[in-house]
Amino acid sequence: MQPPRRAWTEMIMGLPISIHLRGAEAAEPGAAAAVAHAFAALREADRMFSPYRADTVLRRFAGGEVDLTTTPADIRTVLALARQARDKTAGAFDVHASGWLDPSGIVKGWAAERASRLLPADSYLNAGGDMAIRSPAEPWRIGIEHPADPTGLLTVLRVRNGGVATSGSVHRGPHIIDPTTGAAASGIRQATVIGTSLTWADIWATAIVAAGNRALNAGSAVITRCLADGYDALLVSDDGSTWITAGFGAHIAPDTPAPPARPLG
Amino acid sequence: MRRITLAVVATVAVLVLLFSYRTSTSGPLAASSSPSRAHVVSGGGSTGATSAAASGPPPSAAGSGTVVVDGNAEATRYGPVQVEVSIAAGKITAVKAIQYPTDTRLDQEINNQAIPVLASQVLSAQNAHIDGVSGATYTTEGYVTSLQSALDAANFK
Repeated sequence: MQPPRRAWTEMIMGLPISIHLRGAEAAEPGAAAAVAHAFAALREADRMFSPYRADTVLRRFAGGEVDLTTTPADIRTVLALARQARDKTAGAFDVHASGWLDPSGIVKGWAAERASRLLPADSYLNAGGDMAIRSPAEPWRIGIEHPADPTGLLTVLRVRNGGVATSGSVHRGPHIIDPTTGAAASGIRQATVIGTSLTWADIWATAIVAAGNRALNAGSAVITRCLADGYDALLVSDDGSTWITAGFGAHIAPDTPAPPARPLG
Repeated sequence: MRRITLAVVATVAVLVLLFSYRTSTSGPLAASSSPSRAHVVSGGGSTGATSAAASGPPPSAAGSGTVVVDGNAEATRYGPVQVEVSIAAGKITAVKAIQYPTDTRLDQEINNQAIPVLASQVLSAQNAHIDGVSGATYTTEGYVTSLQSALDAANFK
């Protein structure tokens, strides 16, 4: 008898967000309340950070109307993360890449990770393909979508705790800007990054796509820094080749054939 | 026109994954399994998965140990879509669209090419027994055809 499973789905921040629960807690009455709480936290982040809403605090901040000392704590947190991300990635990730302050590249992962902490211990939250995963015992099996075939998989990971983020141009067309050139990034079709925090997995995945071809060079700065931060990556380059960091293989489900891959880093 | 294909994919994907889930819950489906337990869910709506419907006719045996289950015909924007799933030894061995839009030549071209290809792609995901899918950020439209939307529908409450 398999333990119960339940799933909920909502559209927030323009993204399909699903929450899956497993085990005895999934069947308890409190489960639905915890899920509702997590969705509410995501809607709250959307209200605060939406770039489409001219009245948000952030817009006023970007326009110089708001003093940082009186800014809501969440906005200070995200702006501090943005500075850290630029420094840690040596500029490959920059919330000013498009020429203005656009923290949406940080907010999604950060808000999803924060919301996931409100969920029972055997759960995952998937925000448009970026996942915050928790389990007390049995790992969740996470498929990595194939960039050439969204109904097929590149590989399958076993994940107990942490974040898995995938960036690329499959569903939206090129939308990541290389901050060093100001032009659309090229060279990486898809980057999947795994590590303890979804916020940082998402930042690294975006940084790697932004770095583009530079990420594929031996000793690449962005990959070296990603590894030093404790995150591993699986990339598909524009020519269809797959690349993995040395530690990534440990996350691949043993019953799944590992994709033929070139070494990264 | 592309949306016809998308609706078919979502329906096929949901069916496959749902059967996969049922199979792992109840053990391998045998020819004697009750068809009423095999719910069929359609994911053809533009906001993702829609609600469940019980399967239609009882499964019929086709060859030794193979069970064939027909899904309900699901109304899509372009016409009814119905799929048939064959199960042998607890594994899905074939997915076939038995009813789909063929009103125009373009419908026919798209579906004649797309349906067999899509069915085989979905089967590979079924064999991988996944709980979730990480992919490059999908928007509403991409989500409808994604494997994640099929998984969401399979466990939808």
